[in-house]
Amino acid sequence: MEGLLQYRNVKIAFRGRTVIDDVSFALHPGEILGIVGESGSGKSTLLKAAMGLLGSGGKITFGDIFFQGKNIPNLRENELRLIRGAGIGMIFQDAGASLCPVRRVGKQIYESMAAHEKISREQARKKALELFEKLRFPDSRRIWDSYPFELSGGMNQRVGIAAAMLMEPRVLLADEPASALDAAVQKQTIEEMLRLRDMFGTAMIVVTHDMGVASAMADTVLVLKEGRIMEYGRAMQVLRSPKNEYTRNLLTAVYRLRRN
Amino acid sequence: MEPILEVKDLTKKFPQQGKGDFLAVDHISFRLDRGETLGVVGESGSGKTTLAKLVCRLTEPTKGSIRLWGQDITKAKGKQLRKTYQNIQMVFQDPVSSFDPRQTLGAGIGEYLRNAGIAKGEVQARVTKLLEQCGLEAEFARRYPHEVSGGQCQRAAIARALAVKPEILICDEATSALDVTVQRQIMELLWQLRDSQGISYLFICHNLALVQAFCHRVLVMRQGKIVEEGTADEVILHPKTEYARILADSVMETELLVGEP
Repeated sequence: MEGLLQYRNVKIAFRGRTVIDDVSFALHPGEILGIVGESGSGKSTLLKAAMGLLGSGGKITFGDIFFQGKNIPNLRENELRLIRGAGIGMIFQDAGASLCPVRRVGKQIYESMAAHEKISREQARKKALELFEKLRFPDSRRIWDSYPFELSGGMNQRVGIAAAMLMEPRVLLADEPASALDAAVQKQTIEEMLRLRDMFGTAMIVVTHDMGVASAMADTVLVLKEGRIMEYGRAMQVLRSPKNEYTRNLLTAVYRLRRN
Repeated sequence: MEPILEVKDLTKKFPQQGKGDFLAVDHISFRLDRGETLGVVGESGSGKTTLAKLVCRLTEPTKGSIRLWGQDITKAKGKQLRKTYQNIQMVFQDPVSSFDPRQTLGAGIGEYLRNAGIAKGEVQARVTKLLEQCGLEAEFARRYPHEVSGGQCQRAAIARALAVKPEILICDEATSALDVTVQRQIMELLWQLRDSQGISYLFICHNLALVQAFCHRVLVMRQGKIVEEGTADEVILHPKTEYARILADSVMETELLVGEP
């Protein structure tokens, strides 16, 4: 199975210690893959590997990560830079913190767009405000002119997602995109990401420790424990009738809301 | 039942530069009975943590009163304030940062015991006992906060809170940063403490399913005010306000998960 983004027997080590062991999966256009597991299981490391962002201590010691025919581990920094943002976008748990606090939101979005394509400030603003409107941001103009600290945590996260999507990446990697948000904003953020998938056909990998988020978003689910795949398959199958003992433990630990 | 804690008209204003004062907690009144678990829910920024800090006297209220066993502790100082700290303890969201990184967990817990007047020679034995009570082996006393997992560290933080034998435990998102499996273990520990020691809880949490499982009564906060109050089932299943309804509706659908309740 050829995917848009394909991991083949990937092994990753930090200073000689293996943290990801023999992970393979394929992400197809428009697919949302949920990666679930406990903290320390290697979820974020898997994402960072696709962006070439493992840092100085981390190395892909075995296997390939193919994106549009290119093998990420073999690319040089200047080649990676072309893929980051425009080919593969990424959003983090705390989008507010990934924005610079002393510069206006609009200026930062323009800067990131201009890094990838020739675009005037006015064109960038127009394009961004159009997307903001589509996502029904309240008062898009005010948001464009705001500093990050003037916006709520939820609004910052929505801005971060919109900013990543403006580059129209084929793949969006999201590391706990809704975990720091309260329930109402969490739901809104997730619905927004689903709408973006429908609008642009973007494939997404969503890393989360929240089974509710995984079941609301994912088409396929990969369960990770200590760097190894415990289970990988269709979301319905993995979450409803898990074959793996560990997946079952993870799911039965979740507190569920009684509705009656 | 007689209230162990009675809060009346509690208000906290923060001055803002160039704007009017910000009312983080806006004329809040509630009571907590002995052995009761009172949940506090609401979106971030609604004033839950400020309320917790006011109640355990970590921050000064602008207005209002707090009574512990009928005694006004709003302006308690010196000896009376120390006594208050012994009665009300707090467990925070991030256990690792709630310990001094340069001290072992045992030293951190021991400090509470010594402050409470426990003789030096007795401290170590008490630390061991407290750790055991919270499901940790004695050797954890020698470890540093960064050397243990988040769940183990939270157990140590609960052990520390229990050191002074409080009657009220304020948990501010105490399990929110933990993995689901660990979260369940910590909840079981809190449950067991409630049953065995009759501890009353002020349980701040944004996870409604957890609140529903653990709390007797629930306060819904929004913009510093209590907008709804009732039993967990009343507030979650039959909300009276639009805001409480939105909160309950926002809980991620979990129908896909195994083992339907």
